Amino acid sequence: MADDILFELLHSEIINYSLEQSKDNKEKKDMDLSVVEYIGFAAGYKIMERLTREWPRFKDELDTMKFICTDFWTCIYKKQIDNLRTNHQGVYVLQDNAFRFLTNFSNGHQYLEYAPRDIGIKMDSDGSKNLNHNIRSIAAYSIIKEIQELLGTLTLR
Amino acid sequence: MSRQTSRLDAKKVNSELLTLTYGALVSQMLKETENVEDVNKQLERIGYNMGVRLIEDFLARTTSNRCLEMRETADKIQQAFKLYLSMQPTVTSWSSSGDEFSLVWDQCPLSEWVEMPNNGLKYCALIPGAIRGALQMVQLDVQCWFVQDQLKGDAVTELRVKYIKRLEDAVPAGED
Amino acid sequence: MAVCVAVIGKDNSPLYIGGVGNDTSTDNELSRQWLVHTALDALEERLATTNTGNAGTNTNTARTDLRDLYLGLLYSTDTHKIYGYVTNTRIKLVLVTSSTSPSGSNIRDAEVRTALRRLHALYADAICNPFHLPGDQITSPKFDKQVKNIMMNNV
Repeated sequence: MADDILFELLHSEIINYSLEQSKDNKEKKDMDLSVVEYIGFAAGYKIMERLTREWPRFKDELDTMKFICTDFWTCIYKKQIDNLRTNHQGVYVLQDNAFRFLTNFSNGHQYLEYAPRDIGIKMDSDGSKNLNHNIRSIAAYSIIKEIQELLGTLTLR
Repeated sequence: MSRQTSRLDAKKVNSELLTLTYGALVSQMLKETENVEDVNKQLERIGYNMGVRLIEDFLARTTSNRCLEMRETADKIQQAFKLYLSMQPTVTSWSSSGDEFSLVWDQCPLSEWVEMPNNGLKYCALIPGAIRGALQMVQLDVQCWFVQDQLKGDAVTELRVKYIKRLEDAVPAGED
Repeated sequence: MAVCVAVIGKDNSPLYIGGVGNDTSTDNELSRQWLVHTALDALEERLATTNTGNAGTNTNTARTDLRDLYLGLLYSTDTHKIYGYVTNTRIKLVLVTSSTSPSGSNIRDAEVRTALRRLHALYADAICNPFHLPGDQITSPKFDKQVKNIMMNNV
């Protein structure tokens, strides 16, 4: 089994790689995050299938969100989610005040103000502000999107 | 929110996350370029960059001394595989001059679930890159390449490491 | 013996359909597909009732049952029995046994459950191949071989 530091190093290499890729593509002004987004999505999609395999059936939305906020979050981000809000219409806003991939930023750094992140269904598209954070947030976002589809179906029954 | 303890094995999940993230990166790279050689090179370079940073962690965690000969270096590399990937490659096939050896393994977390396309991809190119990068930081210039690859149907994966030269103490900051 | 196994995606598109049996004519193939698609309706219905059931009050035994990913026998025809399983990610697994073959007619529920659980594990591994893109059909020969093994040996 791999040590955590490998993931952290790979994570920053992926960010570098996608920065280079978007440098090549000069037509776009903003950083192209599609690479990071895809990698996060694919990894999230696949790992979710594994994680929920031995899990009892999620009985409702809340059950699903509980899984994301406690079990999943503690596993990947090493802590529980700090706050969960919902509009009760399938939109959930997850807040993590010490996001694993942001705490590596030095204290007092300008990015720190972005640290209390909201990862919701409408994810902040201004990715360049928080590069380092994006791959994981998008992975989480994708997973939530996955579940969201599932929730959608549940609501429609 | 209930405070129940997680029923997931965090260590395993994070290991799988690394495997899957790396896999997604490789597959994404292949999508962006048709040239497989380019992908191999890029993966090697990513490994190199990771190795350059990983060595600090390794030295801190193992309190290693400077290696005086390649046999010691081989032991350290073996130790690093165990520490970072929980795998135990065999060190074998030493050259008579003692400056070249093989690392052989039959299981690696990185290549789990991989079913290879038939195109000359060196899926695990990250590993030789990381070895090269890490050793460069301790003034060792080595070459590193795959002799056998399980993903290509060989019985085991064999990575060859060859000593080139000892570098001057002033180390270049990085490649490129 | 299971005659057919299917993996069906969230959007009800088939991700994999595999069949074994003596008769591999096109006719048979088509009827398999038909069986699987009928099973989908039954699956949706079963899920709907499961969820409604959960909203109400339940005895403990009923609840464990409802939280099982294995949904049991969906329905049977004169010739076949159709079993279902739905993952937490909304992937549907369907297994069809033939009532006319001796090994298929005496099959026990526990065996089918085990087979479907193993199929789920195989599916989870197959999609973890980095060259399999999320949502695509599963074309891996390795997966196909392993699934057919389940169908022949276990069920």
